[in-house]
Amino acid sequence: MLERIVEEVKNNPGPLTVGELARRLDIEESALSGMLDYLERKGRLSVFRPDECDGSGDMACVACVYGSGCPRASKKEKE
Amino acid sequence: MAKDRATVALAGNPNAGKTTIFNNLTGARQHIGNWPGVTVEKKEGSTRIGDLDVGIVDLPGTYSLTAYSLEEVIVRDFIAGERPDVVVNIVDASNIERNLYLTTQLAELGVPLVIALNMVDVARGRGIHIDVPLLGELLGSPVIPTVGLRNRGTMELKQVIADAVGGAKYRGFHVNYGREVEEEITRLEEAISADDTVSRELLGKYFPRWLAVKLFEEDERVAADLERLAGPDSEIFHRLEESRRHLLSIYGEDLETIIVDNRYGFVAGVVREAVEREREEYVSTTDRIDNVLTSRIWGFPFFALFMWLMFFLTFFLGKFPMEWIDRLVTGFANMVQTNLTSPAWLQSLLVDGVIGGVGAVLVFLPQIFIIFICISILEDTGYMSRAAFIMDRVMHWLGLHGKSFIPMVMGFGCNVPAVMATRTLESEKDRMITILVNPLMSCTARLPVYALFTSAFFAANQGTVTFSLYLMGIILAVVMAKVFRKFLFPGESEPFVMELPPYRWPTLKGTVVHMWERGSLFLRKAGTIILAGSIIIWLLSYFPRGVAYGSAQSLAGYIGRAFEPLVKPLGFDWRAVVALMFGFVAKEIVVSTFGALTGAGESRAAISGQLQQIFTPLTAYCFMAFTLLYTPCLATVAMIRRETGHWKWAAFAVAYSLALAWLIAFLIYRVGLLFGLKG
Ligand SMILES: Nc1nc2c(ncn2[C@@H]2O[C@H](COP(=O)(O)OP(=O)(O)OP(=O)(O)O)[C@@H](O)[C@H]2O)c(=O)[nH]1
Repeated sequence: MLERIVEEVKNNPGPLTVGELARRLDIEESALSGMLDYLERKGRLSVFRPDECDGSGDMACVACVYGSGCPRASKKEKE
Repeated sequence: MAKDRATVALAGNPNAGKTTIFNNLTGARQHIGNWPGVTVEKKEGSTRIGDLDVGIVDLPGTYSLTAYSLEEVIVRDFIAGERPDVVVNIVDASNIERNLYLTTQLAELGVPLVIALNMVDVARGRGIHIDVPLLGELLGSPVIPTVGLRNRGTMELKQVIADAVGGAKYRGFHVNYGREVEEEITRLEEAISADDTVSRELLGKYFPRWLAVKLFEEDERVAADLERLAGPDSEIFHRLEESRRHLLSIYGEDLETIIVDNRYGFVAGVVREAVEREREEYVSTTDRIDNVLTSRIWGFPFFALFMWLMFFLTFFLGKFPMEWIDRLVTGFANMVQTNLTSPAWLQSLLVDGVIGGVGAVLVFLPQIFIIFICISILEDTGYMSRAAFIMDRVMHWLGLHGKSFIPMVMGFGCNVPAVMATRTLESEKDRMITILVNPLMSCTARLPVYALFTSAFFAANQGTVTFSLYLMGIILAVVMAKVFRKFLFPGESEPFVMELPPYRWPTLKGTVVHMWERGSLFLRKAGTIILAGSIIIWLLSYFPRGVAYGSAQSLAGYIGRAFEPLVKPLGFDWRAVVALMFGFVAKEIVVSTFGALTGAGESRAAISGQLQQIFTPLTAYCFMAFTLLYTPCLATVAMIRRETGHWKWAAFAVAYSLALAWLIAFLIYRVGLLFGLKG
């Protein structure tokens, strides 16, 4: 199962979204997301989640304009 | 004798509805505290079922029971340590495949399990049909459908809890890891049971099978406990090592992956049997939108359309407030000029240098703010992630792989954090390529330059001309990435998947906050770097004493003319050289330079008039292209040095982009001339 995911991602000609991959392998999207987490931790592939930017610059969000002025980063500091 | 007190723990994935079910079960009788020693919230409550007093503990939501997170450790420690009479596993029916993964691990802990199949309403709405009796059969546990939100199924759930406490026997289940693995697990279990210390200390809480499986999973806490109790040289660890070697030779995988894979396999099997998804599967609004916006055919055209629209709006809406600021700046300059007549140099410094230089950039504040609003909206709706996805697809067409294009979209904002963001790329080669081409993405600092020149030369088509420059940046970034991949950093990149967030409506507050956070940084820049740049340009334009301000005889003129031959073939004169030189510090200073060079805190119209004497529409376009491409700004160069670890690469970035800028401007100029445009 996990191997199939890695193969599919590797052989895919073009970028791939989790949704598209889930459809192809007929795995529920959220379950696939969990499997991808695991594979990512194992360094087998990487998952990019633009939504999860914490403004640290290590996981910068798309269209970040100023690293230091990121609203999400300043929010995080306040917390 | 029947029990009259019992403890029940609620476990489940985050957002499966645990808290809702907890409230349904306990009503108002609850108490909120913290788990000992940590700040994770602990909710406890109680209820009566018939004669039975039931204490209920809401465990933290987790996806799994590894030792990687505090929450997971709390859950397993509680279940193993406190041995609740029943664990109610709240399973989100609409994400059943993911949720059942936790179920497999709860089952391994060997406590009586009751499953509350929650959110069945959502599942039904999505065309997911679950055969509940069959699911119960497959899991060897009672399964109660619930709708937490409407308090449905609570009575049934209570009844099953009472039955389970009262001694009803359920078969339960455990994942079968396959003959080879099971044999190894059994051997390890035997080794664990044979160790006296371990038996005494741990086996009261944990089953040997659980410990064995955890050792296979490379669970650090279990390994540490066993090492402490049995010693690293004990039979347990010898056995483990042997199993590892043996199974690796068979499966070619590490033990953890074998275990995890089997669990997912088990869940997939259960789902295949007991869950049916309608052919006409539920299509979310996000999917529907994405079918168009990220489609192979329409993705890029829509992306281009949004970009064009953004620039159109920027210039269309920005025109009006710009006039006001313009008037304000000119009025201020006039006031200073009339009230402060001596010393003459100070008047010139304030009016020509400071107000002329900084003011020239500040008039474009409305445009900057509007573009930030647009970027904020695109980002907050979730479209920006799609933009990255679409751009990535373009890269793939060129035989490039990987997520290297994602920081590129960030470059539209500012190249500095974009270069920093390349840290997300694991492949060193991808990273280098991305860093090197990132400055070609047109950042917002270039916008005032486009705004100034398009208003002077292309007033009717400001948005479209600006759009063409952005597009040029993207195309050249893609081409250069291809070139670098081929000649400097050949190789494949690692595979990756992108998780696109659902679309959302942007909120007014969010948009305004984002806009302000970014816009205020621009203002700060105007008050610092741009101000300093303007003063230096004033100095160079004012001295040596006695020459006409900003003339070819001034220091600025002297420097500009020294390099003029280099840009002559592009149709630029010495003033362009000075502007570009100072623009290296920050690209907005290109605008300040023209503001300061033309002097007298002129209104924008006057600067435009001056520009029209220096440039033609053709050379103005070449100049904008040159500004877009030539060398990253100082801050970006410093960041490139930091991120690549070498000055060599920073220098290379400067050199190649200068060469590229010259070449492209030259081509545009020559082709323009061929078509009979005025040079
Ligand atoms: N439609 C529907 N919504 C539900 C149901 N049960 C809970 N919800 C909603 O789902 C959301 C999450 O529920 P919670 O009870 O907070 O979930 P939780 O598992 O406690 O979440 P964590 O605290 O993150 O672990 C809430 O908005 C609930 O109102 C259900 O059966 N159907």
